[in-house]
Amino acid sequence: MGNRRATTGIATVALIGNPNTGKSTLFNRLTGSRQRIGNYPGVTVAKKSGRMVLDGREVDVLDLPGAYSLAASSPDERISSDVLAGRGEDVPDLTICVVDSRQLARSLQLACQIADLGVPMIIALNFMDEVVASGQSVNATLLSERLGVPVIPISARKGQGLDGLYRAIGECLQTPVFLRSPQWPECVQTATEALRNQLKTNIHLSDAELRRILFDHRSSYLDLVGCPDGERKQIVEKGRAPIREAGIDPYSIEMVVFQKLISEFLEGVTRADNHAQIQMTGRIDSILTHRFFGLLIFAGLMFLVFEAIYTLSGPAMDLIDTVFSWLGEVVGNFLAPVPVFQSLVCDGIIAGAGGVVVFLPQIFLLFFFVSLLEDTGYMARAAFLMDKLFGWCGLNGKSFVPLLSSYACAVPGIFATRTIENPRARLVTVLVAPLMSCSARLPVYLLLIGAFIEPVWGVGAASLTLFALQMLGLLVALPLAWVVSRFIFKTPRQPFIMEMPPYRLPVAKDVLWRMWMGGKEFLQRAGTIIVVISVIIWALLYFPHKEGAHEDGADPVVQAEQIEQSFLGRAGHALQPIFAPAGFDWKITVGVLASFPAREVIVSTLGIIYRLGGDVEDSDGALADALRAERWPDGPHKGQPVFTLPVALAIMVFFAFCMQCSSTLVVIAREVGTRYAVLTFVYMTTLAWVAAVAVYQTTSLFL
Amino acid sequence: MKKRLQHKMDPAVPQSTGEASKRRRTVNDLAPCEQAKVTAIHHDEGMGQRLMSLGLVPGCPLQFVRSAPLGDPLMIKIPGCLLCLRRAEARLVEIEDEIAA
Ligand SMILES: Nc1nc2c(ncn2[C@@H]2O[C@H](COP(=O)(O)OP(=O)(O)O)[C@@H](O)[C@H]2O)c(=O)[nH]1
Ligand SMILES: [Mg+2]
Repeated sequence: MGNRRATTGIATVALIGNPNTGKSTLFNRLTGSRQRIGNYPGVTVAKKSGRMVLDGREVDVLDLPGAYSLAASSPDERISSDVLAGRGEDVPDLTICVVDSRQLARSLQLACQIADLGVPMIIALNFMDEVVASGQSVNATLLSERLGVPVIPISARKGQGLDGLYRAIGECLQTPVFLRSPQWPECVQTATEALRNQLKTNIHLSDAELRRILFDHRSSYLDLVGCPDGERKQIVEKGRAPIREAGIDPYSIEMVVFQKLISEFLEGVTRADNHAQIQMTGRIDSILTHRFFGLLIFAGLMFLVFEAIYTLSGPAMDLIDTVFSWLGEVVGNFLAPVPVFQSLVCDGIIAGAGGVVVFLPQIFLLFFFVSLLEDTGYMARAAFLMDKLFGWCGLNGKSFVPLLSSYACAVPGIFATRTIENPRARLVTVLVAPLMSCSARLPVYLLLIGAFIEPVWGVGAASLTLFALQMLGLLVALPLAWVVSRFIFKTPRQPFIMEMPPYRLPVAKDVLWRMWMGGKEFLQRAGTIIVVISVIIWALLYFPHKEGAHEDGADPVVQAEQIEQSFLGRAGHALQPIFAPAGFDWKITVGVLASFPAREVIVSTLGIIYRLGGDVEDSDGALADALRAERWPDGPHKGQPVFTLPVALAIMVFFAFCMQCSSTLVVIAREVGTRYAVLTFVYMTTLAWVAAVAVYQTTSLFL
Repeated sequence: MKKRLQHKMDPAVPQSTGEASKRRRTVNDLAPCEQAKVTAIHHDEGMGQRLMSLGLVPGCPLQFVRSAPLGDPLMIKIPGCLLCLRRAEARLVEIEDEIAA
């Protein structure tokens, strides 16, 4: 146990409560640093901390993920229960239990559980604005008397009642107060002793902690004791024996005891409910989750959102591109006397930075819409509608929006997985999100379809191929998610139990702030690394250097030779045998290798390799002609065209699966851990190779 | 594998005897808009506890609102909130008809 207050003098206050009770809203009020708020249970994925100043002294504030019970069954709830158990670094000196004033009975269960662990507590009665507005009331004074702790009516959203809260926090940090704990039945006390004797451990567990082992299905305290898996069940069952002998179910006894206690606490205290709100919500739901209209509206909304992201971000992205190439030119002219430097700054740093910033419009827009969907409460409905499609493979309804946004770009898509509160489902969603056909894959599809499918098979076949390629990722992603959750993570069946939040009007300020924070975090967390990677790739293409290859208006032939003899080009030659089973020659291999940092560069790389210069467009017929004209210079196929239909198909399938996007990898590493970024890279690249070889080999038989 | 064993050992989970006709009704069997009262929650790992912590406790009145367009999950209403749960979890919530109560 490490209490920071003892060493640093800074007290820690933890916010805890059921999901969607306004903890994050209050956190933002207290700390001023805005944190993600959403009208969607479970938006706080990990604990966040901030700092507030109270009477001139600093106090740390922790925003914990919402929990319904300390008998934590989901891993995110476990974060909260572990912190409260005082086994982490930030043992709170005080907890503020944020409760929904209209659902006191349920909210207080959690408060009772926490209090039982011996943590000092204040109750913040939130949503008082709505209670007052509907002419209802809660007798906070009476409740406070009965509970034995301060009960402060507040409205986190409107910032009302905070003075009282500050005062109470200050007082309770001085002299801790504890919520009245229940009288446990005789059998529970016997069971606690029995369990203590069974466990035979050096680690001291309090009575309350032992009770958690007795009451919970699989308590995290058992891990603490280091009890071997095999004996665990027996030991705990022996402890539970007295409870069972008394004819009581050990799993429900806690609830029964607390309910009795809470009904005593609440007797005559509250005349507040949310009937009206729920009724209104029910009416809206009967349309928005309707069998037919619900789906129709959902499809329409999603289309609108992503259409908006796509069309609105387009001009901004073009503008960013223009600004960065202008910047490159200006700086380039300035650095022209030192060509290495010029190339490093222009082709490496500025191009790399441009490659990061260009994502910003999409990230901003995505966060804007996601916040809007969450704050209104619609996101939970989207999850409800879509859950069936994703449930079977270890994902859940909340995976839908991240996967859909990955169709535009996996980077914002992976950011959007933060809305998935189940960590396993979130991880699997992150792992498969890069398989969605992002817009950066389009250029290579368009180039090859235009060059090899359309002239032979017609426009119909061309658009069918394009559609098939777009669906390919999704079709593979779901079974893959199933395999990963089933056999790699061995995740047991994950539940999907969610409270449907009432519909609310979003607060513009909050939505805009989240949008801003999303963009800022992206730049901070991913930006620098992406630039570093760009510089490394630049160096691999620049060295060893051939005279005159990087000057403005350099001869395409010299440029092509530069690529061929650069480190990357040599690697292409060396690795070509690996890609030979897919029908790739060394030029394609270089193109593939050069596209690992960002797949959209394939077209310009091919342009350089085929001596057309780097400015070719995929709509440009010249590159397609060059590809069609290319012949094998030697080997078994000598004199035959390199780009046959099987090769074109193999390349496209390769690009559909391959992890050729350093930004995505960096974001994955940042969001869920480096090893998962490595895993994604390895599995996608392997999958791409296998699929490309399979496609080339089978289609070669027929075509 | 381990999970199955735990089921059998857990006395709170009714043994499946194959007597479908005598099987008690669960939330899973309700029709849209039908009302009922919770009589018991079964335990499947921690799932029973989770359901109870959400307010689904014996004695609690509930209304089946509707199922999602694809049949799963379900939306139910209990006093104070709307819940969404999959059929697999709904099966753990045993009910009796409101009228019988
Ligand atoms: N009317 C009203 N709404 C609130 C209040 N506090 C929070 N909310 C809303 O409740 C929703 C959930 O808030 P959030 O802070 O994300 O809850 P958390 O899950 O407990 O962190 C958001 O839509 C908030 O705007 C309040 O005091 N009054
Ligand atoms: Mg929160």
